[in-house]
Amino acid sequence: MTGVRPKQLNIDTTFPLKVYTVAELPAAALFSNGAHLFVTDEVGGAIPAFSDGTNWLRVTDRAVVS
Amino acid sequence: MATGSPTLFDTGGSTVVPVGSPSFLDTRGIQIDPVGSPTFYDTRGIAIDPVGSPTFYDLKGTRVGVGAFVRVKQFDVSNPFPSFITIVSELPDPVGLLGHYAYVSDAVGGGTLVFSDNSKWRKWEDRIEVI
Repeated sequence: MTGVRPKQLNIDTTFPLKVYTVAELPAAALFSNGAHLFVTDEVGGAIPAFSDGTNWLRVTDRAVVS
Repeated sequence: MATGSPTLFDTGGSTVVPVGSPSFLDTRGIQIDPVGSPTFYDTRGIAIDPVGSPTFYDLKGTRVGVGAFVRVKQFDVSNPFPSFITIVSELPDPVGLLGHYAYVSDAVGGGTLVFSDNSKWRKWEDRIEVI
């Protein structure tokens, strides 16, 4: 691939994800695929999760957050 | 202007509203490319109200467009979203950074995303502490 490097946000520090408990999670369908957040009390421990348009999935194994 | 660049014209000032959200006053125009993204001109002020809905005022100070978004408001990301890039030895103290993430370029096994559980920096793929 070639071309001019596209513009992107300049992030110069660690970036915060919105933090939720499992009970507080909004409906994944409200968000576009790939939206991600942080769950503090997922069964396997605190973890980032992302929306596939239907569910919030763990980044480790794509299991539905529970 | 470059595609994808948010641009503010003739912004007369800015302030912070009580809930800590940004507010732009006397903004003559805002344009966000590409086509399909919102374009606002001659906007007297913009505020983010306490429930997160954008509020737009016209030149006469009349509120327009309150709560106009049906979907939950989120970033308009037209490119892959970047991460803060660092190395393991320069990661900040994870305490107090619950849910923050970064990309470390020199983790064992290769560059990877890590997150703070408020105690340690852990790799996204397996939750193992990054070293």
